[in-house]
Amino acid sequence: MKRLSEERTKILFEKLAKYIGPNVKLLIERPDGIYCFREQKDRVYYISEKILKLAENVPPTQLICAGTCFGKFTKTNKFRLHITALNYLAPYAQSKIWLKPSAEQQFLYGNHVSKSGLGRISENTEKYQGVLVYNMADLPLGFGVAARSTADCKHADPLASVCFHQADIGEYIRSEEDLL
Amino acid sequence: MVALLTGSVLNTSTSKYIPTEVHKELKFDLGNLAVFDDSHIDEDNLKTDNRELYLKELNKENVQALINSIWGLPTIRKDEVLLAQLPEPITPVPREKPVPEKRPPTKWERFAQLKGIKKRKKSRLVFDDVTGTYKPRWGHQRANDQSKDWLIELPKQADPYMDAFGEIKENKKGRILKNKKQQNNNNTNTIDVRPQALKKKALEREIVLTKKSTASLGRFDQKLKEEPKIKQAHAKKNKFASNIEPKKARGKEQSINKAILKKVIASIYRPIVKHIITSPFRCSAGALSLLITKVELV
Repeated sequence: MKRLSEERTKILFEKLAKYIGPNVKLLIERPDGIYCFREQKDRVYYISEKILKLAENVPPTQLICAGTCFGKFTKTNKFRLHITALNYLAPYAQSKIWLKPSAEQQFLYGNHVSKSGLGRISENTEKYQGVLVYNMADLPLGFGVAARSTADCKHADPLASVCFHQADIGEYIRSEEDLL
Repeated sequence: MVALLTGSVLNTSTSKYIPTEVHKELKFDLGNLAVFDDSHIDEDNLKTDNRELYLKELNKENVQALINSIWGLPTIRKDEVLLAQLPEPITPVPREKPVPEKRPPTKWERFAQLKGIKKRKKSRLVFDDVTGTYKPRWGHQRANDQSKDWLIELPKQADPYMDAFGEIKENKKGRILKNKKQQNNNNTNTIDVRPQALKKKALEREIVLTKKSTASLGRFDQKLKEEPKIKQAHAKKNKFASNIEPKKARGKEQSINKAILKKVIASIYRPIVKHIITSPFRCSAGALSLLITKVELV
C-alpha cells in the first residue's frame, strides 16, 4: 500500500474528471469520513482510513484487495478505469446515456453502442467525453466514451457508433481475473 | 685523470659530497630552464674511450650551475610548496603543437558571409523616452523596458480580454527559448572537431571521472579554492509519504489532493470559459450551464 505520487494522482484525477468533472472533489472530501486513494502493485484502491489502518496489518504479498479498486496504471503510466469504480462514479456523472432494452445485451457483451440502440443522451455531451451508460430503468451498466456530441448524434445514421465501450457490468462474469 | 680535466676547476678533496661551486662562464636562459656552455671542448678527449666520463663531468658542472642559479631566483610559497619564479624565456622556441584551427562558422555566420553582411558596433547607451536620459541598451535599469509599462494601449481589433501584460512576459520567454534552441542547433550542426576542442572535452570528462573514482565517490575530497563545481546528474528518487497519515499532518493529504484537482479542473475548463467570453452570441446554452450548474446528485 503506497500513496500515489503527485504525477500519478494527477493522471488519476484527469481520468476521473473525464467522467464526473469537478465532482471528484466530493470523492476526496467526504462528510462521512476520510477516504483516500492508495496504490498496490499499480492498482489504485479507494479506501476509508479505518480500513486502511486494518489493511496495514496484512503483509503486502498476501494482500489481494483493500477497499474498492478503481483501476490500474498501465506500464506506460496511463490510468485504466475498471468497472469496479462504477458505484462511486454513477451518482456524480456529468453526461449519461440511456440504452434501449434491445441494445443492453449488446453493450453488456462488450460491444459499442450504435445509434439504433441509443434511448436518451444527456444534453451538452461533447465529443470524446466520458459517459455513464444506464439502462431504461436507470440502472448503471458501465462506462463509455461519447463518439459524437449530442447534436451530432441526431444527425448520425442508425448504424454509426455513438458510444465507445469502456467497461460494463458484464465484465464481472466475463473477465473475473482481470478485475483482481 | 688530471690531464683530462685541466679545463675545469677540480677539487680533489676526499669529502663525501661533491662541492657545489662552479666557476665557469655560462649563459643562462632560466625561463626555458636552459644553460649554454660555449667553452671549448677538448677534442682529444672525445676520440679516446674516456669520452663518456669527460662529457659526464662537463655536464655535471653545467647542471650544477643551472640549479645554483635556480636557487638564486625569488621564491613564493603556495599550498605548502616552495616555488621559484622563473623569468621570461629569452630564446625563441618553435611551436610544440600545430596552429589551432578556427571554429567552424555558425549558421548565421555562413549566411552573413554569403550576403556580405558586416557587424555594426552598437553603442552601450540608448536614449530612454520615458526619463529623457541615456540608459544602457540591455541589463539592469535598461532603456525602454517593456516589462515596466504600467499601461498598454490596445489597437482597435485587439481582444480586450486577452492578458497583454502576460503576453509580454510569455513573448520574452519564447524569445529566450528560441535563442537557446538556436544555440543548441549551432552546437550540434557544427560539431567542434578541432583537435584542441576535442582534447579539452576529453580532459574535462577525465577530470569528472577521476574525481568520482575514490572510495567515497569524491564527496569528501579536499577541494582546491579555484576548482569549478561540477554538476552531476542524480538518479531521480521517488519520495513516498507515509501510508497512514500521522495525527500531526492530518488533512495534509487532502489539501495536496485538492490542489492537484484544482489544477486539473482548471486545465479542462479554461478553454471553455475563453470560448464563451470571446463569442457571447455563438456559445451554446449548454456550455453556459456547465459553468453555472453545481453538483447534481442523482
